[in-house]
Formats: sequence, C-alpha cells, structure tokens
Amino acid sequence: MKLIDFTTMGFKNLWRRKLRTVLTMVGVAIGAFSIVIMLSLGIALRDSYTKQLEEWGSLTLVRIESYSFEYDEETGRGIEKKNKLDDTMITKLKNINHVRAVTPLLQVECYLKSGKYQAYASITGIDPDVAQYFDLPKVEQGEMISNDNPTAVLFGKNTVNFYNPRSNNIFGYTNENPVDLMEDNIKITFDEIYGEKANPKYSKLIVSGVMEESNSEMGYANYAPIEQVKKWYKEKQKNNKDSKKSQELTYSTVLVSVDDTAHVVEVQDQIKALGFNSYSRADELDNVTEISNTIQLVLGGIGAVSLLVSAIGIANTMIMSIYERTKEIGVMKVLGCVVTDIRKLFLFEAGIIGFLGGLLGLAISYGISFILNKYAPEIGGQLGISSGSNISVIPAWLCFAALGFSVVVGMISGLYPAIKATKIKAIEAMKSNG
Amino acid sequence: MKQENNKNTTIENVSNTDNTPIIEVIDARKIYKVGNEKVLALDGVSFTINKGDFCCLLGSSGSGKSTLLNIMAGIEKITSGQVFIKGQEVTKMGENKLAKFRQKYLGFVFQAYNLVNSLTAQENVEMPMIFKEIPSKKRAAKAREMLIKVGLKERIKHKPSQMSGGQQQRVGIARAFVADPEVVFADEPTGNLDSKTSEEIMDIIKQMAKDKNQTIVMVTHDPTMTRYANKVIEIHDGKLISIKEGEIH
Repeated sequence: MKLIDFTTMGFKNLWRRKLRTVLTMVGVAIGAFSIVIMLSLGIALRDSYTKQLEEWGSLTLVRIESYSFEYDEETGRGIEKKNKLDDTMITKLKNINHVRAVTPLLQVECYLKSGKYQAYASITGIDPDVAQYFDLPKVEQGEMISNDNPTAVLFGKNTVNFYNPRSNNIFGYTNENPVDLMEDNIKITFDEIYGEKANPKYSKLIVSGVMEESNSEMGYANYAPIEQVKKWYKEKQKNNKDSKKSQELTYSTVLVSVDDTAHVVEVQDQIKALGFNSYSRADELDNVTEISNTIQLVLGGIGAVSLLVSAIGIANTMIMSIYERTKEIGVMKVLGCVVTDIRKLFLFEAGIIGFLGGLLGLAISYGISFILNKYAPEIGGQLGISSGSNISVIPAWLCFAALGFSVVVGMISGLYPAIKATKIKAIEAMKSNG
Repeated sequence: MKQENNKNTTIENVSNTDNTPIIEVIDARKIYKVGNEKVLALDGVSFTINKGDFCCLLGSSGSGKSTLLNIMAGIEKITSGQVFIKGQEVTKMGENKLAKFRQKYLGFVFQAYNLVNSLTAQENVEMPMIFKEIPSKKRAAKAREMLIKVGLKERIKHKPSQMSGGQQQRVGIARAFVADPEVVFADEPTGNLDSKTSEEIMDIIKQMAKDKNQTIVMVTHDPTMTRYANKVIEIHDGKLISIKEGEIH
C-alpha cells in the first residue's frame, strides 16, 4: 500500500467512529497540554533566573584570581606560588581551546583634581583590542579606549565622586557630581595618594568616554589600555620608597572569555590544569539549571501521568476498533492485503489520534499560557520569577517535542492492537455472521 | 447481456477447451479439532481444474465444500496434501507470499458480499488495486469501468447500505474481477439472494469469466446452479463423490 492510501484509509476509518476518535483525542490533548504547561512553567522559571544572572555578568566570562603568595595547607605558612599570572601564562591561556580572548586586569590608584574639587579613583588596565569580549557596559559618551590613544581613560558611570575638601559637609560629597568628566579640565597624578607627597607631579587627564550605568560586575570601574596602566603602575612603584618590587609584573586577576557557555566548564578544567582556580557565572548557572531541571522533572512527571492515561485510552479505542473490524480485516487479507500493511494502517490510525490530540493540546497550551502571562503575573512572583518575566514560556522545541511525543505515545499504544490485528485470520471473511 | 452471450458463443467454445490444468488438488485432507474430538472435514480429495473452467463444488451443508475452497485459496491451512495453482504450491506459502499471490492471481466473491460499509461502491472496487499499489487515477477509472460492466453506472458513489443485496453482490463481483485475476473463487455467491437476482448474478459472473478466459471455482449447495458450470465436483462428508465434465448450459 502507498502512503497516500494509508492516509486516506486511516482518516476514513477514524472518521466513521467520529465521537470515539474525538474523545480519545481529547484525552491525548489533556495529556499533552499538562506536560507542555507544566514544562513551560519550569522553563519560564529557569529563563528568569538565567536572565538575572546575565544581568550581573556574562556567562561566558571566567575570572582567574591569583595572589603571589598562598598558604600551605599543612603548615599554614605562606609559600611562594609556582605558577605566576604573568604574560607567558596569558599566552598559554590564549591557546586553550574555545578561548576567545584573554585580558589581564591591573588596577592602579590615582588622584584627580579639578578646580577646588578632588577625587580618588582606580583605573583598571584591560587589553583594548579584545575589550569587547569582556562585557563592558556600552559607551554612552565619547568613545572606547584604544592603543592609539593610550592615556585616555574610559570611566564607568558614577564611579568617581569629586568632593570639596573645604566643604562644610563632613564627607564633602554633594548629591550631584560637581565635575563633568567629559567637559571639565581635570588633572591626574599617580604620585600621591592621601596627601603623602607635598608636590605631586600632575598631568592632564584625557577622558576617552563614559559608559552607561550597568548592574554588571564589569560596570563599576574605569578602564585604560593595559600597557599604559602597566607604565603608571611602575611609575607608582618607583615613587613608593617602601616597595622593593622591581621584578617581573604579575597580575592578580585575569579574565578569560569563552566562545560558548557550553565550553565554560571545559575551559575551567584546562585552567585548573595550569594551576589556577577560576570562577564563572556558569558555576551558578549550573546550580540554577539543576534546580529548574528538578522542578521541570516534577512538573513534567505530573503531566506525564495524564499522558499515560490517554495512552491507555488510545489502546482501548484501537482494540475496540479491531473487534468491530475483525471481518473487514479478514476481507482485506483475502483481497491480498499483506500483513505489514495491516499493521501499518493500525499504527497510522493510532499515530494520527496522537498527532491530532497533541495538536489540540498545543493549541490549548498556547491559549492557557497566554492567559497566564497576561492575567496572572502575581503567581509568577510566588514562584520566584522576577516581575516582567513571563510565567509560562513555550519554546519551539517544546512545541515540536510535545507533538512528536504525542505521536510516539499514540503509536506505542497502537502497537499491541496493531499486532493483534495482524493475527486476525483470513477465514474471518468467510464467516457469514457480522 | 443475453445478446452478448450469443455473440461470444464461438469464443466460449475455443476458450473452454483449453486443457492445461490451472488448479491441482492432491490428496487434500483437513482435520478440525473440536475440543478433544477430531473432525475429518476433508478426506483425501484429488482433482484438477483447467484454465477457463467454470467449476462447481457441490455439496450439502457440512460436506466440506467450503473448507475445500478455503484451502484452495490458502485461507485455511491444509492438514495434509497439496494444492497447486499455476504450478505454485499454495499450501506451502507463508502469509505474505499468499497475500501477494492473491493480489496477482485470485479474486473472491463472498456469500455476504463483505463490502466495507463506510466506503462507496467505487472505493470498494478499488480496494484490491490499493493493495496492488496501482496509481489512484488508473484505479478509479478501472473501478468505474467495472461497475458500469456489472450494470451499476448509477450507483458508483453509493454506499453499500444504499443498495439492494443484488446490487451489493454486483459490486462484490466488480471487486473480484477488477484486478484481472486468473482464478475467481465464489463462496455461495447467490446464497443470500432470491432466484431472479441469483440468475442475474450468475450471468454476470459467467460473462465476466468468459470475456477474459478466467477460471471460476464456485461453492454451492444448490444443484440448479450447476447449469452454469462445465465441471461439477460433488462432495459428501469430506469425500469426493463424482466429477462431471462437459458443456453444461
């Protein structure tokens, strides 16, 4: 038999038992609907968590923190680390698979002065060529830092608070920042912090731009090209008489950008092999995923029970139909229908019940999902979903999976009836009753 | 129909004298087990049917004639013995091979018509061609042609429930002959019909078979039906009583 003939014959057979077919389909629809809605709640929950995490920082960033000394676990005494976060190590990190970019972060403190106002600030060195991978907030005014203009500094929003030391206010701060970074004339020095030096050497501060306000962990900082910050850092060390450090520069923080969230763990393992501990948002995401998977499993399980019930419904319908069609199947056999075709026909009919039931279930799911999102956002709050997020999300994969699952459930339920149908003997056609 | 009958008399004489055996039954034996008792339904029956024969299996109820037909068509398993159709041993075929064999060479007319009630006359006639995977356009054309041949031009789109017994059996005949089988088995095809309709049905069957030199094997309990046959095999209590051959009109 050809596929088209299965289709027409199957549909005709279903149509002649309309009511029973429709009732069975409704059973499947309820099953599919429960699974879809339950999972959609779980998915919405995870989406909302993920969104929150992403607001705090990119999930593909790995942060390596390292100190030149660490404590020996046994003796408790400080020992010097074997692996240093220096430029050689950065080259090694860059060579790890799936690593998109690496940048060291180096902080240098500075002192800013503009007219009667002054401020302390910290400038973080970052590799400007790859800075776009590190989740810096968007530049709101001015432009991005670059190696072409190395002394220009990109400021975070509200990271520098100018104050008037002679003000009556105890802290000298005013609510509004009295100095406009982009407009006003500002001087900078690395010589003096907290007034230790009488006559610090000032130079003019070049402001490259100001970034947008952001909740990201990279947002609250000021950036300059790393090579320039290294110079400032050395200059500061020179001025600082106490410091004997003139050895090779090591970094305390290095950021690694991974090409995909899926590879973060792999990269972290590689970093571990190089002797460093690392930290990423993906670690947190793992926990969130685990929790939401558990929730989905529980919710999906509830849905699965109702689909199981509807599977039994399909099996029942198909078995009933075989009893009614015993003679017809016998006649089909006598007329030359091969056994496999009979089996296929019954599987097809069961599959169609599953498919149409699934389709109906999806339609109901989308409707309910829409209503939930529109009229019941407060339920979301109780589930721990941040306001503004949907409480039911049906992604395309869930839609197709639910349909596919309904068809598979239909066909599995139809398997036993189909096999039973093939066992009907041709002799049934010759019996005069029925 | 009668006029055509006369026209084809010469062809009939030529075709019916074809003496190549198309069906061979050798020592067919069938034992049913009913509870602990064994019932001997067929007790070593042997005969041959030639191509183009109109063969009647005559016997009273319970004589084993239907069992014999079922065994010849592979519908029932034989206990011992052999049946050959077109040189192939039907009694040894598996279910799928049998199905393919039936598609190709066999047609069936049933006593209870056995039409599918949800399908129209045309769709019922198309059924064997669906199993044969004949394209739908060709199928529909052939089915209509057959229905017109059996005189149901006005009933092509009717469902079995909208037709009389005679009309339903005509659909059954169209279905049996539509795929040009070489052998058509008919199990009491007029058993549910009155005598006038029975005659019409028999005429159609005979005419159809004559047109394409097809072989008919018909089971009946009614001795008057044997007038259509050129070979009558009489069975009683599972045993072959007599084989009569000759031009019977």
